[in-house]
Amino acid sequence: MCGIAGFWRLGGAPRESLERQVRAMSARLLHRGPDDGGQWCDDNTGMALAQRRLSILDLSPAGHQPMHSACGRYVAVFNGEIYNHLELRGRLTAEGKAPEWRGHSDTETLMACFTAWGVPKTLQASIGMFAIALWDRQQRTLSLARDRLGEKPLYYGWQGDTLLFGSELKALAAHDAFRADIDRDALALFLRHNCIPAPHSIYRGIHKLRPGHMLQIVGAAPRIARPVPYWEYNDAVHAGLANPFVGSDAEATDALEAQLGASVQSQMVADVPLGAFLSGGVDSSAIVALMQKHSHRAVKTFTIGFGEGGYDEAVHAKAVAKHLGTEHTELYVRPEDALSVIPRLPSIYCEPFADSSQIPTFLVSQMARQHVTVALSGDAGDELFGGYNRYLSARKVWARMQRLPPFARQAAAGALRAVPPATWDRWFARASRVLPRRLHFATPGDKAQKLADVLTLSSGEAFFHQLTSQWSDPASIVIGATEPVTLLTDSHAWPETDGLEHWMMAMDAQAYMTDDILVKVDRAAMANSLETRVPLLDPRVVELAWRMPLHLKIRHGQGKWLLRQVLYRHVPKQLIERPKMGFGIPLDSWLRGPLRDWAEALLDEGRLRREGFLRPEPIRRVWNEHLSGKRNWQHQLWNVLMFQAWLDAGMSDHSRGNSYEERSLSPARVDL
Amino acid sequence: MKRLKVTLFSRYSRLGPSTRLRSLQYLSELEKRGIDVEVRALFPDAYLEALYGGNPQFAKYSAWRHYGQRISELLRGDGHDLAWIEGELFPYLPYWLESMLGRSARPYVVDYDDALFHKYDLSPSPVVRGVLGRKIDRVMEHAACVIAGNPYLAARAEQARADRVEIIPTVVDEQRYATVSHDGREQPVIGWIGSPATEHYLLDIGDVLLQACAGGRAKLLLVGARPEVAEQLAGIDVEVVPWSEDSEADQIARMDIGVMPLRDGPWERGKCGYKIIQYMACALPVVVSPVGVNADIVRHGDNGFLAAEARDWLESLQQLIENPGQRARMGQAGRERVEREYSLASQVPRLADVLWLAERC
Repeated sequence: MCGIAGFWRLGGAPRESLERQVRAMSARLLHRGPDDGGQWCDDNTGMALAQRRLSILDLSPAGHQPMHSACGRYVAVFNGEIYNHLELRGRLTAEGKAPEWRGHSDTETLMACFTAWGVPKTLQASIGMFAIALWDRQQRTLSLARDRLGEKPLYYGWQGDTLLFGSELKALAAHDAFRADIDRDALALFLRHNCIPAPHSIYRGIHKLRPGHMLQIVGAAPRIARPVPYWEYNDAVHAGLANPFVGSDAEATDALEAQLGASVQSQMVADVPLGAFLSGGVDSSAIVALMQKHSHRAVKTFTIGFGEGGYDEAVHAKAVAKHLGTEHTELYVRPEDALSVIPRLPSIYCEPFADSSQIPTFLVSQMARQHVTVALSGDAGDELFGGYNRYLSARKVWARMQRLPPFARQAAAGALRAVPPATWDRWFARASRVLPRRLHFATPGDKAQKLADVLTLSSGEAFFHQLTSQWSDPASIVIGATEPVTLLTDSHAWPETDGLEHWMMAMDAQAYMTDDILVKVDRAAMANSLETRVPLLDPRVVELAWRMPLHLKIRHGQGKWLLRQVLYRHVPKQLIERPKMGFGIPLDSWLRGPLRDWAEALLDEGRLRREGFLRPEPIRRVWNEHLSGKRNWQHQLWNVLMFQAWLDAGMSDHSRGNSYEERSLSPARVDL
Repeated sequence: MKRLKVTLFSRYSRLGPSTRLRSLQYLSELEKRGIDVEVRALFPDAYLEALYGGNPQFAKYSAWRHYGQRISELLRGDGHDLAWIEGELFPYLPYWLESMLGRSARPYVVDYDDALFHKYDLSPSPVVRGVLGRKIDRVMEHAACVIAGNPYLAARAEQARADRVEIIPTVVDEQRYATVSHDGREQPVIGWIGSPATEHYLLDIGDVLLQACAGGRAKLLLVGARPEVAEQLAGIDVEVVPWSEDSEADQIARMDIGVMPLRDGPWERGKCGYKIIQYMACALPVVVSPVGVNADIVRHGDNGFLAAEARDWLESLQQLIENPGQRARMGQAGRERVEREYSLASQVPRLADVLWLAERC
């Protein structure tokens, strides 16, 4: 696990300049790889590659990068892990194509595979998480590639005559050719999704390579190369649905336990200390249970808890850990600890990123790093096995609503909107004594508005888009923006599924999971030089999950049924069963309390006008409504604030020099 | 080395701004990169002169003759490696006819610098919408590459399932534009360049201009507008000069601040912001409406201002009028930006790559 960076200056450049620039780029990635670093340049072609290494496997110098293939044709920098690399070595040997091995690193295996099989076939044969830049000296071709599901990041883009690429934007920004032009269209996407979906980035001309894609840039016509997929999630969806698992519930549970167990086992290989995050929920508990099953020693597990009521999962995690006999470490964080992370967020994420669980994820990584170098996580369980509440509510709300004819829905929406939210609040307050408990809402006016929005939607897909949007019309907030088409709005790119639930799961895996969850985990962990691994994203687990019919995922009004069955074989049900909780912080009240002055300064009307990105009126309106307590706009405000904080940290202005340095929480200090 | 033989099916000759800027100005540079381009304009300069020179009836009748000529060129076939089409081969002919007649123009790249498709899909005539509404999408779909002047046009091509889409902005030949030093003049000149067809955008900000120029603090120079416009801007010191290709750069060099007001609409989003790039090439600070690609070209506060509302327009203009140092700084930033991104030199290699690669498809 590491960080990679590099560039291609067309027409070549003096060696001294190539080395200086690529060193500057890789210096920005020190946190991703504090153990070792290297670079390679070719003044003739203008190619420069650099890598920072966090040693996990093959701690010897034989694992040093950039690495050359035995034949001398290829040189590469690599970030990630290939879990089946020993198997690949076996295949090479069987084919008589294995070189004499210098060490036992997976990078060396990959180099031999590239030599023997070429790029696409090697990528298709590799199971793991990775980002790679491979230079073919003979053909003068650069290949960039990223793992199937987007666990490891890779950004790239042309700036004039120079192609820049690297694991994080901060590396690209260190190059002289980098221009920090903010992409307003991408900013609109950010306000909708809390993150900037691939292939976009906050900068014009810079892209994220999409998961499962490779980009081959040929020296003869370099500027117009386009990424092509070597693996497609939709294919896995279609193949799974076309070839469903046949067998009893118990057989399905056996199959998943065997496959997930194998994946966990393959991901426990490391030459350094390894552990796991444990929240006490279904996914992380299942991963830890299988780790413990395959380990002779007690697995190291980590949890953080919040003192504030309602957000504390640590007690549940502790009970699960005790039952499984893990070596458990928990840390209770105070609000000050969480708040102290906020000023670091712009530099950790390099581009605006507003999933507020970024804060606890950072804290738990920070703690885990004190004990281990690698941590397994339970991410992806919700997308693969149907865990999100929206899959359940789609069935309940959407299916029920469809029974109403469109005109009736329109009329009902009109009626709900005709009454101002404040009036709804008043009516509910008066009626609360006679209403049943389940109708006691915290903010009825807010809920009425949201229900009205949902009633006017035309399809299940639109319903999902609405559910996953923060600002419903972000292009009207960002000055000069047109919102680009994304996977969620491009029906040609949708998979064909057997129903809305599976469709939503396939969408979440390709959008929310790769653009939000995996970005959040990678950056938070890497900022602490911690490697994370996600066993549920082993492509064999993904493919198996898609063979499982929906009734094995959502049953009795509960998600992740099958994964639960695997877990219940190791952990008693009563330790797990409780309402699903996010990994969240109490943002709504913090924005009205300790973060208020900080937010007020960032949302100042004059400032917004001066910056010229966001229209002040709608933002001020939402801010004031939130402060009044009548409506809860925490998510909408948090993404605006994260953009503002990012701007304030100078991330948009590379000419200021010290852009990516961390700065204090300005302009207003956080007071508790 | 193999040379690439390309036939350019342009709409106009030298007098058509799109043709001149999107293709003709590149030809000598492309030749140095092994690409020989044969130009086949649909309408000759004489047609445009008749159209704008007060003889539109004649132009209308002669149009059919030009269609006939293009058909015979296509039937003859030039034995090219690649066709390079400006927008479409035959305006107002349906796709099936266009593709049948254009059988020899394959493979082809097609270039758009405005939202040509809205001429059909937003036409007031339901017949045009019905017959031609998706025509341009079909043209895009079958192209080896769609060259789009901005992201709005590129997005349409993506939706049309084009195999390949490249954004190449409309650029200036930076050599033609001198960067003049605009030392703190007593009365700075707010400038606008355009045509009678676009002058209504300028009149939209008439009140703002009146306030900004009040008391002789600034004056106005309009290039290419009708002289009558001055009457609609009563109270402002206005000079209106006609446009010509030879004098445009010198006229812009007389300005101190360049403006491009626009309304927000589908047509406007498809524009390529060429006049902003011209202003910037002369090292002028700019104030523009944040519509479409304008917001990409102008870095707010760096090389100019984005002004969404009247209030923003007035504040930005006043600030620039009062502040010669800021004008110079922003002008310089704009010129650098042009050289880097919106100059002929910066885009020639990309266009050459697009053409070479399209031929191989």
